[in-house]
Amino acid sequence: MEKLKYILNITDKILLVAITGVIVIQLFKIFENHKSSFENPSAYFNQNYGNDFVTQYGHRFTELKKMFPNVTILSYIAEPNEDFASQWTNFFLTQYHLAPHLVEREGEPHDTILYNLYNSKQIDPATNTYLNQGWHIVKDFNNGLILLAK
Amino acid sequence: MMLALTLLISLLLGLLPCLWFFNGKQPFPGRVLFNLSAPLGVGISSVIFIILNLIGLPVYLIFLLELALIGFAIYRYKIFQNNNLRQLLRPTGILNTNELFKNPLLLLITVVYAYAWLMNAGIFTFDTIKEPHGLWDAWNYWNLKAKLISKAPDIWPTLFHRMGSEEYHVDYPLLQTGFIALCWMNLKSETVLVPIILAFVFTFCTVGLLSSAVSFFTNKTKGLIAGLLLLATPFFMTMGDSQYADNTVGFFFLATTILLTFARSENVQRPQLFIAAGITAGLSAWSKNEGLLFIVCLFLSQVPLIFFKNFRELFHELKYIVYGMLPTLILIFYYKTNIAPPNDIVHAQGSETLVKITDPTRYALINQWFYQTFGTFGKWFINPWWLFIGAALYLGISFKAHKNSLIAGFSLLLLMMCGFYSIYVITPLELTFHLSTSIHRLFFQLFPTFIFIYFLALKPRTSNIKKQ
Repeated sequence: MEKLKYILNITDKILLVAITGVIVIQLFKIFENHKSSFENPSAYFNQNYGNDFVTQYGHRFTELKKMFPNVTILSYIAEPNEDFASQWTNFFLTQYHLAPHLVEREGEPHDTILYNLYNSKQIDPATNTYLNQGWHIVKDFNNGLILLAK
Repeated sequence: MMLALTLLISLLLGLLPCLWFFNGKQPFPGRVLFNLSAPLGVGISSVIFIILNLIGLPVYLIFLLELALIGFAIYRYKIFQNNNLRQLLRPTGILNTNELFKNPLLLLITVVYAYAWLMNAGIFTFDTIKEPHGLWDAWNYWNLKAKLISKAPDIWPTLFHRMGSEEYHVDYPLLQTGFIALCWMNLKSETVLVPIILAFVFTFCTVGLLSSAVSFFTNKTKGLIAGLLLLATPFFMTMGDSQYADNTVGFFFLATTILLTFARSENVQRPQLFIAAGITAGLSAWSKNEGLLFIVCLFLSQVPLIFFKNFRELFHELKYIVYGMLPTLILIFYYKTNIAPPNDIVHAQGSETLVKITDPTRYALINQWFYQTFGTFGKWFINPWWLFIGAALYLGISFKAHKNSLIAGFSLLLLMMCGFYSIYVITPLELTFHLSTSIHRLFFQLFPTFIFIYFLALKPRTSNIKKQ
């Protein structure tokens, strides 16, 4: 009986060491995937801090936000012929950075329209429906954001 | 300074009830309480804030009321003379170094655990520097709504109502959103530090809570291995630093299961532990919609216990659980019926549902995804299920020590999986898209709870089992 207990005790320890070994290998694999950041954290920090897409995108809205002291609902018009993924990303990032103001893509146009022309940057006054209907450009922020009002 | 004060108040709002839950509990589970307090405080703060905001109180008054509530609790219940608090503040209450040096194997595993913890904290920091706003769901759902609440505290329900549920998932509950908004309002700044701290707390407290609870009910070695299984799973950290709410809801699933196990691990019925489990279950539903499914499954999972325990006793237990979750459920009901637009999945049900239920190709596709997700779970270099199966085959499974908790726990997991499966069957979204964007996260919500129940069920070598 004592011998059996002893054997069980040894096998328990072997099993424990084996499980720990598998976990250590797994941890090593995780480390390998992040090795460059761990080896040179300051370079990683300098390269990435403040350079993410969401933060960078937000800088475009600093001036625009100052124009609306109260909560406003804006109509939103995207880049023509934009692919599906970019269209959604630009729209949701605009909403995120403009909150608490709301931007709406559908329905009747509100008193103010925001054009978000991330790539082309400019409206063509000759062909723009709203400008031809008597709307005017309130401000062109020169970064693809253009505000129109009636 | 203001951030530290807001976080301290939230911590106290969690710590004080925890001291009450475990009042007189011997041996005192200090580490469990330590890991439970902060997330619980976040949840309670969020509930209090949203209720008082909806009533119309300004944020400074909410802040003062919370302070008064804490002051009253400390004075009324003589917290500083509380033995539990003294035990918690003793260094050995958190870490007992004497025991470590007597057992080289335990020391080795502790060192690996410490290494894994620090490495994961590093990864969390690196990923956060790269994506400080979190990934898509974090900024587009949780943080966006927090901005609306913090910047338009009087009219946010109107703004929420105006936003579409499909695009912004406005029907998602507000635990994370509410707490972030509260901090931003107190700070008068929308710093990304708040959601980052929140994600860190929930991610690492899940590891700590799992590890300490397994350690309490079994032994320290198993506790550390349980925590390591989470820390060694890369996807767990990805979910944490992405600032998604899956770790939040997963934490409350785990906390509820642990609190129920505590409540049932004694011969004397302790109502406060059932109330505590009710509170955490309610907070899971205040974190994500999956929490509502969890509550339904939680009650259904108690049904098999009719065969194993006194019906009247079971009824009383369930009654206390309901007491615990009632305030949060009322808030959720109000939010869902008066503020949020209808949930896209629920709203889309109709004649199409029957067509989906009777479509065998949907079942085949869901089965395939479930099978694949099990196979590639957690992005380990080997499938971690082999570790679970291997250890269970070697040590065996025993329901002797915590029979009721294990029966209810395994039933709960099974029911949750069935619930997730059913949602996929009836989803109005494109099925492959819905599966590919959510199934791995749903599995992870249950993973910490599974690990806890699994370790509880492993047959102990010695016979020092606690009677249920």
